[in-house]
Amino acid sequence: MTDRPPYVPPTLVRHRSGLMNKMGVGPVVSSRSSVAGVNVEALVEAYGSPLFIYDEQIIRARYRALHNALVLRYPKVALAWSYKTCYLDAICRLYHQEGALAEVVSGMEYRKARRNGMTPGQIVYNGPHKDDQTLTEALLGGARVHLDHFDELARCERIAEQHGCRPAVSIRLNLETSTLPRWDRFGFNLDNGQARDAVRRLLAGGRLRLTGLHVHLGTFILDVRAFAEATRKVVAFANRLRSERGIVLDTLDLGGGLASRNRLRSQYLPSDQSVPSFAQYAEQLVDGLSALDYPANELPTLVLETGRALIDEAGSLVTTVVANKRLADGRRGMVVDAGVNTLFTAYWYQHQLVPTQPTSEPPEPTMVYGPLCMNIDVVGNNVMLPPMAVGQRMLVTPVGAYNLSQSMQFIELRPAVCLVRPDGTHTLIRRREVLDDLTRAEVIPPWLGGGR
Amino acid sequence: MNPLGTKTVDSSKSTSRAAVRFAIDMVLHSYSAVLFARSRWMGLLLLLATLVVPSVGLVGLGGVVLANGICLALALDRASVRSGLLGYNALLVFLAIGAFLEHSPVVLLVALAAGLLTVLMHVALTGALRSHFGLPVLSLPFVLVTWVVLAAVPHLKGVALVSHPPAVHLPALPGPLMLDGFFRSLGAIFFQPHWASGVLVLVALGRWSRIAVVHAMVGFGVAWAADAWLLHFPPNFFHVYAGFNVVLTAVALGGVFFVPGPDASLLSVGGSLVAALVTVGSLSILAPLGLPVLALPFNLVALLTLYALRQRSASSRPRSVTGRDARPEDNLAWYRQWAVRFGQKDGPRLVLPFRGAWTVSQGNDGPHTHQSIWRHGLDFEVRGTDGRWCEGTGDQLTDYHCYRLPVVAPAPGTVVRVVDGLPDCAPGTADTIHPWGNLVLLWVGADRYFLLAHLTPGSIRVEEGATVRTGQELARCGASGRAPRPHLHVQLQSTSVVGAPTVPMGFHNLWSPALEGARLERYGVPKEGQQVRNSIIGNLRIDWPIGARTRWRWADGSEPLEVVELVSQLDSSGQPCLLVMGSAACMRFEIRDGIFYALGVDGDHPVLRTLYAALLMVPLDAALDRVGAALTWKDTIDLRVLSSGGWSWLRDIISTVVPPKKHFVDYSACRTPDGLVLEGRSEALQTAAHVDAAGVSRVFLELQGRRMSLTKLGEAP
Amino acid sequence: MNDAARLAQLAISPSGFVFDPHTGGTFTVNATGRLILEGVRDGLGLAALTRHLERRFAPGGADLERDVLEYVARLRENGLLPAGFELH
Repeated sequence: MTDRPPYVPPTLVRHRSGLMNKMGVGPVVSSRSSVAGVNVEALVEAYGSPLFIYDEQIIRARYRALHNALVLRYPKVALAWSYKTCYLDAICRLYHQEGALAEVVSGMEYRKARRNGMTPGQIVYNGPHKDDQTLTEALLGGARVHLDHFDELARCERIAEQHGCRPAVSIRLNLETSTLPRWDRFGFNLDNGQARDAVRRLLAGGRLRLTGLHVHLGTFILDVRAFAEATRKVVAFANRLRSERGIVLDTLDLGGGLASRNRLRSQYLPSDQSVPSFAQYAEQLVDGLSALDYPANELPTLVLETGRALIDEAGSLVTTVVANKRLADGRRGMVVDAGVNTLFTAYWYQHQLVPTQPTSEPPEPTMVYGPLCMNIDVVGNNVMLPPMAVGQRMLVTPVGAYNLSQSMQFIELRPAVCLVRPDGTHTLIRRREVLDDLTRAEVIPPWLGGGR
Repeated sequence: MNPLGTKTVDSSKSTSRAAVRFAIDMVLHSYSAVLFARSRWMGLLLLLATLVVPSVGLVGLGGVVLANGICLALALDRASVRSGLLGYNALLVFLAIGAFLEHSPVVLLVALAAGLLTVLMHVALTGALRSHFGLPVLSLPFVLVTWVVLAAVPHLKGVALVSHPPAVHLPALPGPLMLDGFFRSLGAIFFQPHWASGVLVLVALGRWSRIAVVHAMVGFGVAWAADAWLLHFPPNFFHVYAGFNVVLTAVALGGVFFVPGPDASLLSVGGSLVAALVTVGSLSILAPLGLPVLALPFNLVALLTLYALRQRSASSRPRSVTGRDARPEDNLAWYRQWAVRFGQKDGPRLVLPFRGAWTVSQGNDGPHTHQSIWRHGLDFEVRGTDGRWCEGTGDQLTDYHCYRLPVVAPAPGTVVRVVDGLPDCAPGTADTIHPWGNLVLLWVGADRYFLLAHLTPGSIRVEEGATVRTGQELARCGASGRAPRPHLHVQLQSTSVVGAPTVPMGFHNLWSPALEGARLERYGVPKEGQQVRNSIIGNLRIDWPIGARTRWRWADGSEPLEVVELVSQLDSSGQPCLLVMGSAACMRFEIRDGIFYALGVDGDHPVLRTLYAALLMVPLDAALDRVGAALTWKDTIDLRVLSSGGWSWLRDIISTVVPPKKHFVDYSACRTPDGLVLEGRSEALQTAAHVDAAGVSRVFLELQGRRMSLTKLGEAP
Repeated sequence: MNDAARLAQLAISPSGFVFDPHTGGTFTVNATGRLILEGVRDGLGLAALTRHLERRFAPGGADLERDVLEYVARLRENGLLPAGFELH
């Protein structure tokens, strides 16, 4: 027997205009077998599949790059890590080690930040619903509390009165920009004077000190000019506050919403052409700040609450092919072991799906489905993939943002998460869930067989 | 002992003891303040000096008590009252009254009025002179009030001038006439023109400062020599007029208001001559008015010199002193300490003119354009993480990382020249017709001009004539002029012509960030290839806002635990300092660019000694925000602070001539999850301190076998 | 035109380029696909095709029958095989 080539399933690719080149073959799909120098197979062997992989090197590099882009333009900068982007304590602590503050939007997140070693003064507390206990602790401890509505203002005043102190607070503003939808359900509107009323109400109450302004325009904002517009409006407001009422602010929080190299399903251009760089975001954000009417050594601190832009590209998911299918209309289908229960962001974003093993076989448009028995569970829509056998793996990127905090224990339990370090070692930062993780909080009443 | 283990003191006894101490300080310091000092022993000796002629001296003493009483009744600052600053003018006025007016009951009323007037005038003049000119009031109130009183005498019933000065029956002093004249003139400061009084004054002065004694003698000698060869002084000149003026001027200019040194001594000699001249001149002017010259020449010459020389850059020689304790030896030691710790001896204090970390792309004596008269120039650009100046191909200006980044003022100054409107050159091309491109030229004090060149057109935000503060945005980096790629060129010149020859230029608080071990140079010249940035304030603060009071637990070796209270205040020259409640000692500190510096300790207190040694410098820079970041540095500590009593006076005398050996301490700071841990080590001592999000929380010093520690308990209400 | 004639008209190059003159469409097939297509053109049945593949490739545990049946269905859908064509 002469040595025979390995078997590859048959493929048939119909030529459409644009796909043909002089060789008569379509585009070759790339493959990726390692993350941060660590072989993906080895990781799956250690931790199972599906598996989230975070790259520590990218996390630190992105943080430093954003920080640097801002620091080259403005003298006082603080970055706050937005907790809701990824709840893993290891990731949060990584950011805190780099020097980030914590941005939280609920009592639960506040407590989590405290458990990660953040003092109240290092926590930015946002959100329309702040429970009494954490709000009190935050106000008394000097956290940066951002007031969302008048009822919250009144609550804070009551707390201040009870404890006989005058805590510092900021107010959240919402405003109109020419390109973005207005998120007017949060904060006080700047354009119609509601923000001015809020300041007057705050001053009249005499119980709180206004030390900062906060604005958060949206999420995944690709148009940097919106940031420039918003900054100019906020700065104009800050200048008026200073000149008319003598209020000297020490913080200007311009929120977050910076986009990552992900691609919305509706987006036409590929992400490397449409997502602005950190330098471009920084330039637009800081440009408006030069109009601040403050002496050079009393400038307020610029705070940004970023999440997605920092971590999305640092996270990948390895998933394994479970089945190959042919759909009724001839399209190829593939079932993998991670679906929208694990990749919540697949509803809005077209992630990159890349096989881990190289192949020279031509790709074919493929529908990639998850393991759920729900019709909406689509991970990849007409993705160009080569033929892949059951048991082969593919990498889904970028998935670092929101997938972990929004993943469900629905139909399947949540997968393990590992962190790959720059020296090539890897470590588990969340173990794969077991059934107990699903049922632990349940109480079975006695007449249904439950004990104790 | 109470349960906390601290000493409790019987409060009523302590209050009356404290009041007695206060009263004694108030009186004695008023005497010593005449000679710029704040010393009880000196005050006592001067008090005795005034009692050589008891009738005059007692009036003076009564006046001090009266005036200080008025001050307390008017609720003026108790600390100033205690330090004698509000009493010395009254002392001089009352000595004058005692010396010039016949004693009678009416004089008592006049004295009362004069006392009140002196207090009011002192406070008012201090307010005006300090806030508008930054000058002390010296003895101007005394001169003015005494004139008022003397001018009023002809119109007052029952008040008459004495016909002759009170006689003292003492044998004449043997020896040369000059010696007798010297002592009499010293005594005449206190209206006691007798050599016995002068000897006591000299002893008092000598006890306080030997440098002052030397200047007093030299100044007097200069005036005596001038009389012999140059001028024609009226009779009785020396012991009636010279003592007031020439000696005081010499002492003030030689070491009290200026750091002692050869230049200050020259100034002192010159000042003595000038004072002599002014004295003679004012004699002629005032004689027809019937008013004595008193201390007017000294005040005029001293204030004139002080104000004139303050118009220069702060670090020109002789260096003006802005400090609390005016003792010349202390001024000298402080200046030496400062020069060693902060490096730069003269010139404006510059910080890097940009934000964030930039890299020197062409250093001093650079091969491309920094040659011959432009050798001290520096070019800065921003390097990417891959080590390149640009990303992508570098064909576009926007590819370059530093393009359009803000460029800021390196020091406070005035804009003297702006050039705008020249276009940016495409990468690879340069404009040799206008080599500097768009530029801003700043005057930064004395004869120093700072040039920022190659700015992008339309970005210059200041106009010619505008004043700018350090860190204020001036323009954006560009590629105009001779710039084949975008960069910032800076140089320091000594004239306002653009492109003039450059002078050496260095920057303060220079951080060289590196992932493994950042470096901090308190003053340095960046080298080619070095990445540098200014201090960035980190997320840890040491905040001691004025008026804040904190309570600490103090343990000193075997002594039982005590609770002390520290309060932060501004001293009389506006410098922040930390005081221990209940004592007059204070530690001067400064928070500059995110670095906390302990500058020195006035007075003697073990708590402040510990704080000074452990917190000599605390870098609160963003480089230490990351857990695991570390920094090491060497600093010099003023050993005089750490050792007390004993042979310190002998060491002082020696250190006047021979600079003391520098004592280096190796410090290290490391960021832990809880905060910043500082440690210091030298052959003589070992320190440790802990700073967390709430500020300094623990301080420790081991010195000569004694272990002292401070732990913060919290804010005091 | 019968099945065999129709199949014979397909131009199949050794590199896998396929031209269907009947529709004008062009396709790319890989080595396995070419083998199956040529086998069908030569009139092989399911069992024969499967054995042919087994001989040509290293054993790999793949479900060859299934692959052949699916591939034939795709060829049919794309018009390379006549509608209604079935392997015997």
